[in-house]
Amino acid sequence: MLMNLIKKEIKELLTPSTVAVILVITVLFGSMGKLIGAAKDEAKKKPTIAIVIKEKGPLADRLREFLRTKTTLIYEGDSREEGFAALKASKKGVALVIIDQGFEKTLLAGKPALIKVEWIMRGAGLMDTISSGILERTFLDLNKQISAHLIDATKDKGDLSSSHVLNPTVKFENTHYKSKRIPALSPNKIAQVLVSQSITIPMAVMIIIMLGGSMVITSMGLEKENKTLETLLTMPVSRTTIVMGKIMGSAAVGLFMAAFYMVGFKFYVSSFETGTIDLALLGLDLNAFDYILVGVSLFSSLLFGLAMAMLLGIMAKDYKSAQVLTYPIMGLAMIPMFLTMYRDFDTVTPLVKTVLFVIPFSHPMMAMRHLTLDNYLLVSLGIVYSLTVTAILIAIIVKIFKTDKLITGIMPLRKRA
Amino acid sequence: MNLLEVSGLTKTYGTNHAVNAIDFHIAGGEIFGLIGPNGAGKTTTLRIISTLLSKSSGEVKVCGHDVQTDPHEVRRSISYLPEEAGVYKNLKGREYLEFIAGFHAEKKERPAMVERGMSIANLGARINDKVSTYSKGMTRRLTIARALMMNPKLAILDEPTSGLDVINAHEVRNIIKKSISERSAVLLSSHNMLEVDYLCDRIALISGGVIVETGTPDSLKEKYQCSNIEEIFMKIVETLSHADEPDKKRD
Repeated sequence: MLMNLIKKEIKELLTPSTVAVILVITVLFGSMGKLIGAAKDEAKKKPTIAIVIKEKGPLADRLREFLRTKTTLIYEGDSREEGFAALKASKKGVALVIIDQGFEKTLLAGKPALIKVEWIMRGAGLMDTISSGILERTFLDLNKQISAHLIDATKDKGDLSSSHVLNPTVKFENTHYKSKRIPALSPNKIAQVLVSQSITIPMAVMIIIMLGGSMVITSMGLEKENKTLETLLTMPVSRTTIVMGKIMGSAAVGLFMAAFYMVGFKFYVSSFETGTIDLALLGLDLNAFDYILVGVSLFSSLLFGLAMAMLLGIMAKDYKSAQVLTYPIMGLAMIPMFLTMYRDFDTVTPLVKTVLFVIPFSHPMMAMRHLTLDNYLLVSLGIVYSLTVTAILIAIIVKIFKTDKLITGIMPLRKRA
Repeated sequence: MNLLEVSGLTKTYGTNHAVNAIDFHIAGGEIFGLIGPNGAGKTTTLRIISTLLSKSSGEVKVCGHDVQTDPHEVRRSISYLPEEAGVYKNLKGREYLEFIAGFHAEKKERPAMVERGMSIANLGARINDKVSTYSKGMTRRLTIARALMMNPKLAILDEPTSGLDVINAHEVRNIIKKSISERSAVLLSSHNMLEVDYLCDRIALISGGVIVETGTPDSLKEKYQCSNIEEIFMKIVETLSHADEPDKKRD
């Protein structure tokens, strides 16, 4: 008798849709693992840099040798312009390190010496700044080399303060982030500032889409279960009006609920942010028009999500089956969420770029980052693309609404035959 | 004038004929009953007339409008009540009637339509309560009121008293009977033969997608020498199953 009950439970719970959901989740976790694995590999690699050391002498030789061991040098010479050009040409170049003449003399005079660093920031994703993070740690070791040299050079005199010996240099750094030159900050610090764009926005977009999507699918499931859909479809109103009414109503509620979620999530993420850096001073702030574009991008993507939910909702037989149908939307939203969290659109392979562009949920996740860099074209294209795909989906839904499928259900081909 | 004309109506799913070349009509002031066993094709027929399903062949006209080519005009003339139809649980009874009135009347006419609906539903103060708190009988009274409050030219009611107790079923039958006028008609399907006898001016017996008998309850009682519709129904069903036997043996 127990076996009889267990068999019934398994049969009830292990439906093809449940298996499909498990498969999707497995693939997603697998992809996440691969991403983290790639981050680990990246962390093992030496950062690629260019150096211009104009200083001559044993300290300069020691530093040159140290950097040769700890980094991959793509340029080693006297021209700052040439070094920077070589760095820009290289796809992996992280920074140009400049040590001017008189470096050791300044140090021996008890003054901090200047190490100039021109950083190249290729993206604001979490994985895009791994190399620069490694180089920052290399600078700490470089300082130790200088400290050791100073101790050796002045051991008989002992006229340098211990604090100077332990912290002998000052970094003068600028970051070149695409078209912008951001003074006095390293890519890591900028990435910390932009953490809300890297994590908050993709998460918020995902929540909005999930909320809106599940509302539409559940509504369709309930309409079928309660037979209110049959009543609705016999009202003197066009099918397009019914479809649009459902989508727009859910969009309004989805956005309203999302606003509350985002406030809470913003508080959570703000605890990780560096609050002392003003984005406006860095030229990374957004103006009113940019925010409108972000809103439009989000709304167009939400409309796509709702249209997709409605298409899936047509397949729902009742409330229970509707719940499972939200998973494809979740899966589709999770792909760009993880990709945009870890990588910038510009730093991924052409295949991943295509995947990101094709999934309309990606566009609001990337919109703020693009607008920060005044990349209006990509944001506008994303909006146009999302609206076009949504219009196609709505046309398909209206067509299905005009057929028997909504009432009789979409039967598998095998059964139909 | 006939408010509904059905001729040669056929609906097929693959090789299966759910409805097979049926003909019937309903005139103004008539209550027409479609009776038959489960799976006979009653609901499919009602759904085609209500523009929910497409027909495979044949012709269906409601108030002169073809269901296939002019569904919007058909929807203006009909009111369809599915079997065990539900309502939006978060709405109050009155709000539900207002929601439906929004599709059928201009803003000025809506209050009168809702008043009519409330009077048909006869739910008293409970009309202002959420539908989720209603009993099955109350919900059915509300849906019947929804279907009849706009004075449809053709009300299509699928098993209107299904699952209701004696008192609620009696009330619903009275509502339907009172709703009829010379310019309107009711098409209903039912398993309850006494109900059909009480309510319908004419009936059609459908079996295996085919109408096997049509007439007034009295004419059918006379033809089959039976005292009630239930006996007629059983007689016809038995005749049909005997007629099928040689075919089955051949198979």
